[in-house]
Amino acid sequence: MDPWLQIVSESAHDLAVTALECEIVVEEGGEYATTRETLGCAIALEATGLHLQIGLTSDWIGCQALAQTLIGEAAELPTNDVLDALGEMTNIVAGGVKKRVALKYPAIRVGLPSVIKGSLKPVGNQTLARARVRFGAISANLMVAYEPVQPC
Amino acid sequence: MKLLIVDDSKAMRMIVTRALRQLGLEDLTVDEAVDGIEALEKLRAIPYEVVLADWNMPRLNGFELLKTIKAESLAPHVGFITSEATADIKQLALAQGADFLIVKPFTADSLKDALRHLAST
Repeated sequence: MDPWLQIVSESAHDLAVTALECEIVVEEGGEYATTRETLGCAIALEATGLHLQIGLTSDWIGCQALAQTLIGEAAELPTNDVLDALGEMTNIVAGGVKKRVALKYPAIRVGLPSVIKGSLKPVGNQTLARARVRFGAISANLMVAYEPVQPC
Repeated sequence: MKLLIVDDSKAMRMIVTRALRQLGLEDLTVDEAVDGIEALEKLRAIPYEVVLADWNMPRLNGFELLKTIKAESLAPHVGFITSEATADIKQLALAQGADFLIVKPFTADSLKDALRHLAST
């Protein structure tokens, strides 16, 4: 697996275990959805010589299901709560990435979540890697745009 | 330990609640408030040992909440979990009597360390 995607996947495992309390399966090379209906959140992580973006997206039904799982409510949630939940989930993944690269990048800064539609957009010389992930029965997309190539 | 989580984000309140539960603390009771105003109403009615609050909240922000808690001695310990982690804010919070400020994204370990520190004081 792409080394950055590996780190992001491990961090998504943290999200599944601690916040969603569900199983997670990362499907390397899995079918990847990039339709305009795909929605989610992205967060940038920056340090000297490091430019990362991570993203977590799904279709609207998947976003609703992820938010409901996190918040623990079965009823349909308003859009604000869904986006808020996705932002916090992406934040947890970002925190996991920060923890895992802290030795090499101790001054890494984590940005604030922003809403994205479709796929993460690489900036500058960033390379994009992505995988299909399942949190329990919920399908989502995990992605990372990175520079440089090797994380550690 | 009786603890009040104050955050306008429903998702964040649940994340903190689950993280606390997973720490396996004995006799842990967790309650929630959606902002500083509701937090003060609860604190004036029921004693809590620890308040875990966001910094940026509608109606009454974390700083104003902290000042009121300290002025009225409503809870012995106040900590913040926030994305607002500038040195100025941290200094302001600690100077006003906050016990700790955890920067989001936080880990369960950072929460555990902060609460363990409280238990030893």
